[in-house]
Amino acid sequence: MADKPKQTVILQTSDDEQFTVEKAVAERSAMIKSMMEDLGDQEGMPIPLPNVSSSVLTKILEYCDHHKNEPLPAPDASDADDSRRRTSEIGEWDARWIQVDQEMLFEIILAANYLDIKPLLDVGCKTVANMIKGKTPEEIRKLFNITNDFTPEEEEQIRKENEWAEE
Amino acid sequence: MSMLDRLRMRAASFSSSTPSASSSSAASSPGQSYRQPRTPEPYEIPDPQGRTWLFALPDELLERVFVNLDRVSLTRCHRVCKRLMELLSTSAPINLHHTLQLSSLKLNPHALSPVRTNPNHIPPSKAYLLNSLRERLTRFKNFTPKNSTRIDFQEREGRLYEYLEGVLLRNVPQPEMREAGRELAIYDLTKMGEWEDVQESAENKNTAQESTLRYRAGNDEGETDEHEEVLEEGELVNDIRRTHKFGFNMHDFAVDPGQDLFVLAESRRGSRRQYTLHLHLLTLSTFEPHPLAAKPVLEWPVRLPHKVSTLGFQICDDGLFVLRNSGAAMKDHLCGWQWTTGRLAVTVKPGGVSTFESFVLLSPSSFIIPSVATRLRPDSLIQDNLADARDLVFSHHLLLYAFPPFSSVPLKEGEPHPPPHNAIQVAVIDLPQFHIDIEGELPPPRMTVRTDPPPRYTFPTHPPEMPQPFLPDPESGTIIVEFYCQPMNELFGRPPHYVMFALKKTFLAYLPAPASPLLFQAFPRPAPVLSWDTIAPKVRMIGPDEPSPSWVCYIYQNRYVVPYYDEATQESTVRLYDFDPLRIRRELFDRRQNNFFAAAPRSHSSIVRRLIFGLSMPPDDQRKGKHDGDRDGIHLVTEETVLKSKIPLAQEVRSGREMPFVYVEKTYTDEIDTVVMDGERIVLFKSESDVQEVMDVLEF
Repeated sequence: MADKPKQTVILQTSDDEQFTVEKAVAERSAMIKSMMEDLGDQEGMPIPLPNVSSSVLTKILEYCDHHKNEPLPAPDASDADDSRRRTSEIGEWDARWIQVDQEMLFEIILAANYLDIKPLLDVGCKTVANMIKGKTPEEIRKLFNITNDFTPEEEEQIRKENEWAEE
Repeated sequence: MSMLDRLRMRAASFSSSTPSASSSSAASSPGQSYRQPRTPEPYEIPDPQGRTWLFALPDELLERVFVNLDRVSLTRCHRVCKRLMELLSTSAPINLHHTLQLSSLKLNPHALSPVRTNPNHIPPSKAYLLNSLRERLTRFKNFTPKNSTRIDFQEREGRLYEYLEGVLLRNVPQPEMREAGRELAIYDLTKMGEWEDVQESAENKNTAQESTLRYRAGNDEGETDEHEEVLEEGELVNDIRRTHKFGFNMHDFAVDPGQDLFVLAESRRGSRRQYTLHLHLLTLSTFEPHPLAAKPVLEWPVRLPHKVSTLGFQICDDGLFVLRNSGAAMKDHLCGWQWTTGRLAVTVKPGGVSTFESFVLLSPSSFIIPSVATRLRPDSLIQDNLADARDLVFSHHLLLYAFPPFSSVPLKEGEPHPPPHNAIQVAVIDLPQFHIDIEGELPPPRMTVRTDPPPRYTFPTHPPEMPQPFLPDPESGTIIVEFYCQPMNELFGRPPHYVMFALKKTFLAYLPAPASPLLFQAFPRPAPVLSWDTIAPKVRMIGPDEPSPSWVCYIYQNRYVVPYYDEATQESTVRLYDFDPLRIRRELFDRRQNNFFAAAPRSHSSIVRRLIFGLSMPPDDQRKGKHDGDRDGIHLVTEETVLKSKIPLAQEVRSGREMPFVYVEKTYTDEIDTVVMDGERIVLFKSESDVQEVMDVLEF
């Protein structure tokens, strides 16, 4: 096994940069995996990723490389597996890896969704959820640049209706 | 790694980190707060160009974000902006998540998985689950079951019963035999849904036969026209009932339908007039040895002098716990096995001269045990007989015991299991004093404790096509403690019966951490004692003429169900209590919002009077601003319950100031003997005649 040359695949980003990537790493993306299967033996043919920029792909490949030896989630992973995974916390390495600015964080989530990397998508979504946890509506608006389009009366009305569940 | 090693490591890391910690704190200026503010992560800084990245996500990804939120945070998000409010109130996955949180329920992931062996099986969608959950919660809230199905029992009532989550087990009694016999009848009420679908198509053909089934058809639009269904008698019972014969007499049994586990106790005669007790671990579906059990039969660790012992069971995840109540010759004895590995993991006997009256699991690694303690009267002059009842003081307590979780003990294959842990007493809670007079035939009241289901952290996998979709959060729920007193004919028609309710959370607060070194001590220090006054506001005790509830499963998560029979009118009123703190908060807020205030007490039915017996009703002018009372059939009680100092109570008992509750009632025109329930149904048991027993299954 160890002597076997590493099989690679070429990925082409939206800004036309090409990345030569070990197959075991690229396979983390269920989308790339199925494209590789479709391409078969056509080695050297770049796989286009029109929705992913080179800076985001660089970051994501770092993630895929770190997790390349873990078992892949089953292709027909149902809601059930999702909810099982969701209950677990973000791993230590993942938490450090995702210390990026908001723009990059959301680009990563969108790319993880496009590339179909379920565990990464969960890390991203959980990170956003953790950003929201424990914050007041005003703090959430500030965090995400959201404009409050409720009138004060409307907001007070919703607050009153939900007051029983907010403690 | 042993606990000791872990402690050493922690001590080492503490001492090594101390110098650097002190140097950094020295550097901070005196004006700074004790806890340094955390540097925000880069993503916690708002986008400098003012972009709203959150809404760059499509709805399906926003759903993935919001189902990770806790109840309070998710509720708050509703008033951030209209876009978010719209999403949160229309998305089925988010609403399901939120509704589950508001009811302290968990979603069973297995209910969403396709069944590998059945290609035709389609798991339910989240939208469907949300609809059925919402409907069920409303139906329970108003006590409006969607249907009621009558089932005739095919055997006479026997000695043994068990019920959990739709599965009822009874022994088939043999004439002229005192023992429970070898035959078991299983009524699987979870199969009734399938059966209804079949019947619906038959409905069109048949119209004129005598009805043995009624049901209220409810659909998503909330239509509640009552339908009368027609079918051949006995058809349904053949679908849901089966029997099984064992090769020996059943001594007792327990069941966990979600794990397909049936535990059957067998008492065998050994040498020298001693008996051994065996616990067979079988599947409920086939009664073959359970595939997950390493040993198909567990044996009680000691031989017993009696053939008959009273057993109490709890099955929780991989734990099987059995309390053996003794006669005079032996102490009560509680044993816990990891039934999957066959390891006897924990045992405990009461200390001193006291009893274990009954038990429930408070968490997978702790018990709550009601106990009667006997001590010598401090001022007694012991004359000649030590056992003279006049020299003794009896007192009632709740004992909290904890032990290391099963998972903390790694087992090595091929090596003998480590010896069982002794559960450690971690708290003693004093209960009210009763008037006890042994010579005057007033012995100490017996006690039982119950709460269903056990605090499971795993999810049911059975039946594979349709495992129970919603499970109580193991830390939620209400515990009931009952006091059965001796009859005092001159005062009451029937024996006084008090019931006390407490939220599990109230007691969980007194447990040590699961891996606390406290649990590994050979000689633990005495457990702290909590006085009754400390605990009284947080629990609620009512009585003395509360009817005795059923034998099993009358309290499920936060709901308690009990029938009140009125001999004058020959009607039964089934009362459904709810102690869910959030549900009651909501009721209070609703009443406040709608300016609902308590009406002055009106003429009450005898049923209501019974409740008020235990409640003090302040004069009208004090009731202003109170929201208690009946609103749309839902009764709210926030007032303190005051029980007078009157035999058999030896003290005035004030309780419930911090434990409000609601109840709803439904009246039936026949005598209901007993009621059991779970998260989906309430089952009423009635005797139609001396020989015919029936059950009405109300589905919610």
